[in-house]
Amino acid sequence: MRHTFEGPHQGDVTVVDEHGTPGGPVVVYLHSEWGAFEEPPLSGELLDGARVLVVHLPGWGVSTSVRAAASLPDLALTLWWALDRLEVGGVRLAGHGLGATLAAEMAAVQPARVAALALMAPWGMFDEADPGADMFALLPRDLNPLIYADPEGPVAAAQQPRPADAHETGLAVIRRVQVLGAASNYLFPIPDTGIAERLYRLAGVPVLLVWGARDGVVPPSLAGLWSGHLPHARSEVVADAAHMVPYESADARKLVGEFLTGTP
Amino acid sequence: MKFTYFHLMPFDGLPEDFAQRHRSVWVDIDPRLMDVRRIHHLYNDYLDELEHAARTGFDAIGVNEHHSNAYGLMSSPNMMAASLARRTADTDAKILVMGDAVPLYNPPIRIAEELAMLDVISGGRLITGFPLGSSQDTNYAYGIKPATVRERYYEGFELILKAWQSQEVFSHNGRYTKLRYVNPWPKPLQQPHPPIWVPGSGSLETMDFAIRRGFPFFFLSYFGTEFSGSMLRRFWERAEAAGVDDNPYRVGMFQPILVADTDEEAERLYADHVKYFYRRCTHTYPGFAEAPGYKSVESLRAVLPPPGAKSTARPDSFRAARDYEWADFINLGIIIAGSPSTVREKLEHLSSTNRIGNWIALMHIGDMPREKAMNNIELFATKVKPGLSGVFSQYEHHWWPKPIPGFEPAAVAPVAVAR
Repeated sequence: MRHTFEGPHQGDVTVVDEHGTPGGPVVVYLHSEWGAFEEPPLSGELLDGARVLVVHLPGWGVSTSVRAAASLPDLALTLWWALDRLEVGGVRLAGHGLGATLAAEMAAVQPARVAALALMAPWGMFDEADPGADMFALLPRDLNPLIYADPEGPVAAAQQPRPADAHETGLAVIRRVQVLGAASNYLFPIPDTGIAERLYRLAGVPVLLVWGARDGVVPPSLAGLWSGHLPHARSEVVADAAHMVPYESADARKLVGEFLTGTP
Repeated sequence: MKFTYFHLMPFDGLPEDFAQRHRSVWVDIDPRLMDVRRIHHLYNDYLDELEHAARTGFDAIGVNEHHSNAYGLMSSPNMMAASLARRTADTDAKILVMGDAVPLYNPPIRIAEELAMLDVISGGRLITGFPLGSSQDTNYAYGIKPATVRERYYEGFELILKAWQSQEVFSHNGRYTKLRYVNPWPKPLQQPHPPIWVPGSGSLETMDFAIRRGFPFFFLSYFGTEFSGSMLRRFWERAEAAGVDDNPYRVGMFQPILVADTDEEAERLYADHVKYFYRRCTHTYPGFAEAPGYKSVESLRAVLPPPGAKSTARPDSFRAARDYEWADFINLGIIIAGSPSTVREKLEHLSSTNRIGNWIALMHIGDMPREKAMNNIELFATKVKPGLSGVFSQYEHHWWPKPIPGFEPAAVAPVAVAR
């Protein structure tokens, strides 16, 4: 089932797709800066045990508005507004990349409504000593080896199919410009979003941090910075995955599914 | 017809294998390639050339703005224009500042202040160009969020215009700039404001902005007027649709121009410098060309090839130009070069075909030494320009500095030092 919310600001469109098991605990999944792909990267356990709300953020995919000057805390308020309209109370939040940063912002705004928070390769902090590559400047041929553990593998091929002609090449450029252009509002030029200053609000929220060991844009070394602000968080680094960790690693999906549904 | 001698102020010490060994001339160029002692001489040579152009009769001299860039060492065009304003005070040459990319300045009132200072110092000889700024400069060198560049431009542009014209102190509560008191001292000498030229490199939004606001549009391209024909036609179509007249001074064109005694001599004198420019100075990492969000998705959709279209390399691309020889640059119209008559005929033809009233002439190119640039200036001013100055004389140039009634410019002379 699909829900579409226009507002609260002019031009904003937030779309929420429902998956999983009606009546189960509510899990909200927030996609990365690359937008939502055909299938959300969710484990079978999660879909069997929970009512999963997959959000298409304003500015990405089916929600094409771009809030040029909005901040991530602004966007977190927009998402709570949309969830209120779905009459959702408490939630378990999962996010990937920019979606993970946004999930942390949502939890900082309303920690009492968040029963669990799973963050996969979250942006939001920056370490000059290990800055990660500049995702916005790199051409796909240079960037893909940094976001995919296997840039020639099936995940990369599905997400970035080889164009057959100049028309398809143009469409791929347009998609890249749209999703990264929307992300640039929050992550450009330095992906330090200030989230660290708000993480104190998450003291009572169970948190799982997951990194792909070969992530070249959000380096796993940032796990230490996040854990410094969230000493109670569980932190895992998954082998054979890069930035696209939830798509590349069944282990990562399982970790998140078990964490959110409370199953071992 | 009006001619501006325009300078990029390139660094001339890029190694021959620069394109093979380095990723980009812009944004992340290796700082170890820099030779500051050499740049001291370059700045002074380049200012000499601009001053010489003003003295030999060019209508204007022009400077621009780039950042983190080895082919454009002018991070502050206003600084260069300030020097030129004093050193050309005994000429009638106007001073074009085709820089001050509005989104780069916060608050943009700084532009209103510095350009007003330049206009006052120069005795009302300033022409202003307000570029949006390239993605390399605005996004990568100055860190402006790509999707905000155009909004910042429009907001800053209106603020500057109002600051120049308002007779009252006012407040500005914008999205990007908030000022309780706007009150620049001084305001420009030219009232209501100096002429404004809007440069662009192909964006329809910029073109429409210029048409809508009644400013001339300047097309900036390193690939010459031949390749820009369709873009210029589009400008005139849109101008006509908007009910705007066909005064050719509404259009300006950037063009490399190289003059010698004969066509053969032009190749002998200038070919290596042209190749230096197109093989080293324009070697930019393609990822820096346009940050995602800098150009709207709508603009990209407008140039989407139809289904089934084959991917072909464009001849007007820096990648293609890297392999060009002198004959290619000439035949493709990327440069206009040759004897005075060859250059004059080409300019006359292109002007009348495309209704171009203003030329921004790039006459120092790449690693050209001072004496060749001076020779190029001299030949153009004495043997090309005189035959063209009367073209379009039936039209009034509404966007050119006018004499200011009752104004007596200061006598600028060296101060005698008492011993």
